[in-house]
Formats: sequence, C-alpha cells, structure tokens
Amino acid sequence: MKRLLLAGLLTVVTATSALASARQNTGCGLGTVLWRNRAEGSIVSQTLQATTNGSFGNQTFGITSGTLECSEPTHFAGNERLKEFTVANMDNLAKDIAVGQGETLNTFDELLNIPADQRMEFNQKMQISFSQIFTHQNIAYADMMNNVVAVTTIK
Amino acid sequence: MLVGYLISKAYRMSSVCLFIFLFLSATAHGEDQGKAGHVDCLIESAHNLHLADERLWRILLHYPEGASASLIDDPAFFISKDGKFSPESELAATLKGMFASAPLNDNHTLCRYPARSEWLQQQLAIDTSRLPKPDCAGLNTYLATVNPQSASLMFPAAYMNSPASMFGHTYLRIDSDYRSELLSYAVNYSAKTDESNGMVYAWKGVFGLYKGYFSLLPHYAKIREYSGMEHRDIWEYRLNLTREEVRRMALHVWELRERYSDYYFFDENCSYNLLFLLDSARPTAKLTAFRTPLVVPLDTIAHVRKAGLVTSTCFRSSQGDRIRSIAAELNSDDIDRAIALSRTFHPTQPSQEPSTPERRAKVLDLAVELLQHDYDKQRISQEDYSSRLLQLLRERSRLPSPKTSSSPGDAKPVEPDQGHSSARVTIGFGADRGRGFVEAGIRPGYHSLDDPGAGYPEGAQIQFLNTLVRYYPGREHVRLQQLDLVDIVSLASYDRIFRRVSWKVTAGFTRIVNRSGNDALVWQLATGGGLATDFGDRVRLFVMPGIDMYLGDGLRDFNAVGSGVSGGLLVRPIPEVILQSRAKIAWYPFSELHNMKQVESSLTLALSRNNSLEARHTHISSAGHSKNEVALFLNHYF
Repeated sequence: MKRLLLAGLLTVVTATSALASARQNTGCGLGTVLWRNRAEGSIVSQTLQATTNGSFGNQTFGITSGTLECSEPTHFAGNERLKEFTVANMDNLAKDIAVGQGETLNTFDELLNIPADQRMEFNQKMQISFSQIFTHQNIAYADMMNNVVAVTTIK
Repeated sequence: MLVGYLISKAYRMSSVCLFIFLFLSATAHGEDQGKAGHVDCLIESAHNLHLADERLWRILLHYPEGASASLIDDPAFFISKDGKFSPESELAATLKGMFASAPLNDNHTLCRYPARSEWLQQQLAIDTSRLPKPDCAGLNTYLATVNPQSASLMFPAAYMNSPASMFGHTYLRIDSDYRSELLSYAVNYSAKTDESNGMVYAWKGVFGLYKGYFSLLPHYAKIREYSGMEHRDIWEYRLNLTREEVRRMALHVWELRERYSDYYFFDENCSYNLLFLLDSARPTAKLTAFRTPLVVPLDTIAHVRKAGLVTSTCFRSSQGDRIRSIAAELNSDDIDRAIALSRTFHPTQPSQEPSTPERRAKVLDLAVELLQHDYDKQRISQEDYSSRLLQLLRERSRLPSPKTSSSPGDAKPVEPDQGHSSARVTIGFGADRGRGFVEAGIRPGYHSLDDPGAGYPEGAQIQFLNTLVRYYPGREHVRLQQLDLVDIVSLASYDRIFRRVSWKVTAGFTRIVNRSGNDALVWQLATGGGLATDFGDRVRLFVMPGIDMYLGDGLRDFNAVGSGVSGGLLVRPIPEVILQSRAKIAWYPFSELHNMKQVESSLTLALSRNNSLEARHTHISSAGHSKNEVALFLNHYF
C-alpha cells in the first residue's frame, strides 16, 4: 500500500508543466491591445488552470487601461472614455467599420454621441472611406480619429 | 413594526448624542473633545442597537452567516486590529475613523469605506454636517466612470476541448447608462499568481496559499478574454437589483480594492466571494449562507436564481461559434479560400473569386476571423497580422454589408444552470461473472460522458474524486472498487478550421484482472490523444492511441506498462438518452497482463434534471482471464 501511495505521489510530481507565457503589447494602433494567451496551453496546464478558476496574472483595479502614451486627435481631445475604448478595441472597430455594422461600431457611435437616426449614414460613410481612415497598418489613434472626422465631417 | 421601533430608537439615541455634542462644544473644552464625546456616544448607541450583529454590517466585513471570523485575511482591510474576529470593535473603529480630522484624502475612512460609512450614517442618523469633508477624488472618479445603475451575474461557459474550464467562472457586470454592454465594468475575484510551476500552482490553489483579489476592468476586456480568446460562450443573468442596491454594491467593491482574502479553489473561490457582493446589495437574499465544501459556480447561479434575483437570461456566443456559423454558409472551396486568404493575402484573381459579392464578403469575414484566431494563438507576428488584417478589411469594405441577419448562434442552447447539479451519488447492483454485487458511489464533481448532457458541453468529461465501493453478499467486507483522483476526457470534433485533437487523462485507483484472475487494486495512470469526428448532430466517433501504467502489489512485478488504442461511439438520439460504446485494446509486453481487451457499452436515460438511470455491460479480458459484468445504476445529482 505504501508503494501504491508513492506511485500516486509520483504522478502528481511528474504532472508539472510550464504555463503559457503572457504576451503583452501596448500601443495605439492595430494589434496592440493586451493579448494574453493561455487558452491553448499544455493539457496539464489546462487542467491546472481550474485550480484558480482560470484567472491568473495581474488583473487590477483599473478604470482606465493606460492610454497615456497615445496622442490626442484634433477633435474629441480629452474624451478619455472614447480614447480608452477606441485604443483598446481598434481591431474590432476596424472590422465593424469595414462591414458597416457591429457591436463595437455601435459603441463607438454612442461614445461620439451620433444620434440614432444618423448612425446608418455615418457608418456607411466610414465603410466607403475605410481606406482613408485606416491609411496604413501602424496607424495610431489620433490619426485614425482625425481621418474619421475628415471623411464623415462630424465635429 | 420592529424596523420602525429601531429607527425611532436610533433617532432618540442620536438626538441624545447631538445634545451632548452641542453641550460640549459650547464649553471651553473645544471642539475636539466634543467630537470625541459625540463619537463615544454614537458607539454606545450602536452597541445598544446591536448594529454590529446586523446582517449588512457582517456582510460588509465578510463574516459568513453564523461565523465568528471574517473571510478577509488582509489586516489592512480592518481598521481595528480585532476586526477580523469582532464586528463590534470594527464598528467602533469605523465610527472613530469617520470623524477623524486627518488625512482628508482618499485614505480617510469616509472615502475608503463608503458603504460602511453610509450605512452607519443612516442607522445612527448621523448629522452629516458634523462629519469631516475629505476629498474623495479616487472614489468620485470611480463612481463617475462606473456609474452603477444595474447589474448582471456573468457565467463564461466551458470552453471547447478544455474540460477543466467546465468548472466555470462567475463574475459580475455593473452596467451604466450607456446602451452598449461593452462600456460596462466587470468585477472579478481571482487568485493572483504568476506561478509557472504547475504542481506548485495546483497545490497552492487548493490549499489557500494564493491571495485572492477583487479586480475591476472594462467589460470588453472580459469579453475578449472569454468569448474571443477562449471561445467560451458567456451567459448573462440579469439581476433585479435596484439602482440603490447596485450603488451600495459598487461602494462595497471599492472598499475591497487591493485587499486580499486567501483563495481556496474548492470553497472560498470566485463564486463564493461574489455572493458577498450580491448580499451587500440585498442583505435579505442571504446568499452567503449557501456554503458547501465545494462551491461550484453553476450551483451558485442556481442559488441566486432561487433567491429570486434573476429576471432574464442572455447569451453571447463565442468567437468559435461565430466562425462555425459563417463557415456553415460556405462550401468547402470557399472555406479553403478563406483559410488561404488568412495565411497569405494575395491580390484578387478574378477566376478564383466566389461568384456573388455576398459570398465574397462571407469568405473575407471568415478569413478575418481566422486571422484573428491565429494571432490570438501567437502563430503570427503582430507585423504580419496588422498588415493582413488591413488588406482583408480594405477588400471587405468595398463589398456590401450583410443584411441585418439572424443573431450569431442560431439556436440558444440549454442554459447551463438547467443542467444536472455537480455532485452525484450512485447506487446500483449487478452481476460479475455470475456473482451478484451491490455498488455505491459518490462524486463531488463534475460531469461525465454518462451523465445527462443538457447544459453541458458535448464530449467533455471531468470527474474529481469519483469513488465507488462494492459489496458481494457473502463476502466479509466492502471493497474499494474505484477512486479517481481525476478523470478527464475531451472529445472535440476535428474540422479543417480548428483541427482540435481529443485527449484524456486518468489518474486514480482502479481494479484490473491479474494473472490469478483476481480483481487487483492498482494505481492507474492513463493518457491518450487522438481524433474525434461528428456524423450529423447526434453521433460522435473517436479513436485515441494511448499509454497505460498500472502499479500495485497485485501485480507480479508491481507494475504493468503498456500502450494501446481505444475508440468508441457516442450517440444522443434524443436529449434524454445517451448511448455509448467504447473498446480498448492494449499490450503490456513485459508484464503478466500481456494484453487487455475491454468493451464497455452503456445506456443512460435522464429521468429528470437531477436523476438518471444507467445500464452497463462490460467485457474484460486480460492476463488470460476474461469476465462479463452487467449492472444497473441510479444516479442522483445534488
């Protein structure tokens, strides 16, 4: 029986594995939001994730996600909520603008205070002018917003 | 009646306090002494009113019902050094802190403990003009940003191919005036760790060696984490909490920031700790009284629903579902195109283009999703990702937007809290080589492929400490039949887009037939990986090669190590019935077992949400012996 227990312990000891490392990018453009990959770790790490209900790392008490390094656009300068949301959701916003609809786009419109009856037109303008808004792959928040203002003529 | 009496009593008491205050202030002793006298008087009033025994006060200090100690372990959470064990001394210390003349910033009790302070002000009818006026800049920013109006309990369901995630997670969403849910805030309780050693990680998680913290983050970040990266559906249980209740809860969340309690995976976990927040909103719900040795997130949802807090349920399908639903509308050539586009963007070649703009749009939509999926999985660099994303989206923006189609995820699946409860007891009888036996078992968690599947992800099994004992009438004693430390099976259907592999891990005690033909108790460690595929919605077939190891005194050389292959069929003709057949053949070249063949077939019938009946036939042959076993079990979930 003792040997049996030892065997059990051995199993637990051998079941160690490094967990997937975190990748953190910060910036103001596409692909720069916080990505953390832990979904596809090893089988062992997947199992062990259950021990803390899958949440580890430094989730803090943050009400803003750190957009200080991003410069301000000409219009909407100082609109922290807009800036924080747009920087953090740039990729999904680009997706929605290209399609002309979506949850991220609705949120963007809401933050810009676009009246509900003008949103469809506003979104269409942005869809048609997608290439003028997202001019290059490293476009940052301020330039993107200035382009949105230019193509839609909102203030 | 009682409430009215207490209120009038409180007013009487506080008017006495007010009188003393005025009297002392008027004398030459000065204001400080008057204030001290006033606070002492309030403390006495609170004592006479037994305010420290009031449910809300105990909840704000995280004392479970009937407990004599708070679950918060961070000494900094308590103003009094006895606060963890004495709600009364913490109340006195809070009152003193409320009247303290310094520091007049966020560290003042009125700013740091706004929920406690507000409640004491109401209960003791404290004249606010007597209180200091600290500058609560942090608190005010928090309240202005979060703007608490209503709340929902959130449950990210299991993620495909990760049975461990089936245990689930819960967090709270605090909604503001914004229409968009993306602008809400998520309140999450989790263990804080950057541990990279898996064993240490598990050990600490189970034995409370991690510090658990409440965190607050934008809800879009939570959605990206669960729905995007992990491909988990998110269930939302809207709560009927009033604005006032949600505000009090938000104030209490503020009190908990940067304060820890030891995290215990099985009971003091994310789900249990959230109940304190809900109780702080509505103390009469008494949710924290629900404390079991294993607090499973799903069970807490059922409990919150039973307490009458849930008004409606919403469902947000995962990115995986979205990808599948786009792919379902395309033919295989189009899917190939989308896969190719997501890997290398090549300039348009009209001959290879799908015929209609609508189909071209769908191919691009799928390519974008696949590209993001690859980026999530770190298969491509940020440089490649953003350049391809932009190219695909430019193409896409020239095509029509789809007509506002059906919401993603055509059919809403069965709500997870409508599935069976997570603990199970089993009683059954059967015959083994013609000898009758009775068998009984208990399993603290969670779900097996034999259990009724409604509300659970298909093809996923995770069992902890599944224990079975068996008794053969006429024999002397009851014997241990099986004790799984952990038993996980993940059968994920393989397709061109996700290419998921299926796998299994089992560790625990089991019985095998040895060379003497006896059922020897051995330690088993078995693992395997393979593929599964679906035929229609109801049939899943799998094949898994694997390695087995048995250790035990019942084996001649103490061990038997071998490899083999298992395969099987899972059929769900109607939701209430599960048919399974599994076969395994394995070789143990250096052991007495030589080879082992096992065929197990079972039929499960769900009688109700929490009861099921299972019939099983097993044929085993190993070490030159073979046996047949039939059994009938009744399972009850609780």
